[in-house]
Amino acid sequence: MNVLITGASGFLGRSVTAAIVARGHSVIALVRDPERASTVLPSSVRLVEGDLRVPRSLAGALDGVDAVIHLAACVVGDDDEQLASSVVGAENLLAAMDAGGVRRLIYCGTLSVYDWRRAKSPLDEESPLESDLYTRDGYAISKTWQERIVRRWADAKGTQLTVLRPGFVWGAGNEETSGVGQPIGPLRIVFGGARPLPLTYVENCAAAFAEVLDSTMTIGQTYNVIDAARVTAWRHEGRYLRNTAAKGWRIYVPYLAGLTTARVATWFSRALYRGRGKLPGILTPCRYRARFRPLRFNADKLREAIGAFEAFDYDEAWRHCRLAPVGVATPTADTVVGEGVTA
Amino acid sequence: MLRAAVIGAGHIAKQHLAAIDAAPGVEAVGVCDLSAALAELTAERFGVTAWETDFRRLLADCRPDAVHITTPAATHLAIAKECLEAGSHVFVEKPIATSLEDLERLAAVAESSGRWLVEDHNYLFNDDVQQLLRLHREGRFGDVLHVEVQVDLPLFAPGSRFVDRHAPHPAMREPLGAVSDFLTHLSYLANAFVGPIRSASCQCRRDSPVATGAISEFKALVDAAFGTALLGVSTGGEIDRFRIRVDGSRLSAEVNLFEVGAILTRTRGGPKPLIPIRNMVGRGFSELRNARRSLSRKLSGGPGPYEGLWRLVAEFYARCDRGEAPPVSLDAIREVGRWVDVITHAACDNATVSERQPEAVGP
Repeated sequence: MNVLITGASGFLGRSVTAAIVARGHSVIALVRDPERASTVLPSSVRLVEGDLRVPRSLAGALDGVDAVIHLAACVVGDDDEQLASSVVGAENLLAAMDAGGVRRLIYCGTLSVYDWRRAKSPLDEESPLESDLYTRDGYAISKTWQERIVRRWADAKGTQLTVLRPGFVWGAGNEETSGVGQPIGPLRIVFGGARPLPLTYVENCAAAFAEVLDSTMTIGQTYNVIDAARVTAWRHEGRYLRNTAAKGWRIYVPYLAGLTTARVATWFSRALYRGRGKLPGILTPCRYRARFRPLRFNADKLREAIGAFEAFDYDEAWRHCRLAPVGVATPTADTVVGEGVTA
Repeated sequence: MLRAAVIGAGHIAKQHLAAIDAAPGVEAVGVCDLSAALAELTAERFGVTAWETDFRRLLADCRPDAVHITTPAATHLAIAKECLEAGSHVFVEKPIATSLEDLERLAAVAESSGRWLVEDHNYLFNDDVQQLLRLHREGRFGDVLHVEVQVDLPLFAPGSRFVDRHAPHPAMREPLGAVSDFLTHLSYLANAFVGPIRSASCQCRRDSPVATGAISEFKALVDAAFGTALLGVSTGGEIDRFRIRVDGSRLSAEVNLFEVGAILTRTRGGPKPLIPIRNMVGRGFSELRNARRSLSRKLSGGPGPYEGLWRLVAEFYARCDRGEAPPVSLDAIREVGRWVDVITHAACDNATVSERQPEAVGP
């Protein structure tokens, strides 16, 4: 199969590309900087220079392509620029897919699209989507809109869409996730340390994408991608401090203490500024919840469809991480960092 | 209730929609963008009922009293012309046109259609600039001798649209690159204190390692009717600053539009040896007061440095409603256009350039 991958040179993209290549597919990577991409992608990958924000740069790029894996999202510039680039980029990609006659799309979504206030434990694919979207950060808004666009496109064109919503994707160079807590100088504030994190090791997540590509029964479905291992925020932060060059001390703050602080700060802000006050994300209750709310998670639906996709359990993943070349996984423009998920 | 529409749903459109939302007696009735998703998203975000990808359909369906044009500068003439001819007042993001000739074409259409044409001179309406203008009107500066307007922003930092190879900021196609995007702001602020431009000479450095060939440091020394002006854009530092300094014969005042509050330095008011001491103590107290106000502004959730846009938009609609002339006149727009034109030519020619008249153009 000829598979075009967007965001192929990003953190998740590199692993997904390698996993698809390993399955014998022919991979075309749509990249903005082929020279840089050639240093991080397998040599068998065909590099096509293009930018999703520039429709003319996509002309002909999708000819002969059988399937697209859309991982790219913009993380440069401020929230508004990211929003515009990600949404317009998805729109342009779908138009190019129409022009190229491509009917199969695997779209990389995020757990950030869920309504973390209304969601009940365990959070799964049936959990409600965010109902008050514009109180969330630019990442959540842009990913929600990306998903809306691809769903509308699939409904209108009768095409084959699978939506994968990975949890916190971690791996060499991106070992720490924004869902653990808040670093303040040398202190690592861990909110609700005993809660499980919806982690997925980057190689496991990539394997899920590769399995889904080859599985026809996943067409038309939506899946959360979360590793089976139950890892708490406190434990993951501890491993991060032990296994990487990062230095610091973990400070445990109960989830409710943090949420109460955010609520009190919001109350004061509203009282002081007549309802218009603006606070950092961590002091905004809906954003705090989206990062730290203690819920259980499962990816049972995905496991039922493709079986166990994790090649690495949690301890093996850390060992694998330490073998990865240092610096290769430095976040790039194709790496997404938002309030809920790193992809 | 007046009806407003916004054409172009990029970053600055959000500020315009927020300003419309905050202004009394006006409601946003339509948003237009070439991207259907971005138009719909923007409309949903601001509770606007209609969105379109074709501005002509927007004009026909929504019949707005006024249209805000927030598209790239090169498209302003064509879009604004049709909006004016369709009977809407037009509020255009800066720069209103990419040449003096295009500005005159647009002004001619506005005059013949009897509709208002306004260029966004938002910073002129910020509290601190209004304070400086008040001091100027009251004669507290004495004679205004010199004004400096300087923008310091890391425009060429990684990730900036100004260094984006694939989708560069539209200003990078203009003769002065990123400087073009700020020159209108610098010009209307300086013009407000020293009047019409007479001549300018410029110095440009193009030594950014990431924006090859682009102007990275810019200075324009201007001789104006009532004083001199030094306009600058610096991209090399890491501190965001938008500084205005007005030097008069009796008073100097300095503001940073990205923060809050003016710092005043007086030359009179006590025994001469003690004046510097008094000024230093005064500056200390002013800095403390300004720090508190700056923090409050950041936490307030208000418009921040766009406070002037909110005030200008509110005033624009209030005057539209009363049938009065807008707060930024066509003469002021033309005068600022001449500042931009003279400075652009001086920078391109690396010479001292005097004011020129636009070539005769039809509407």
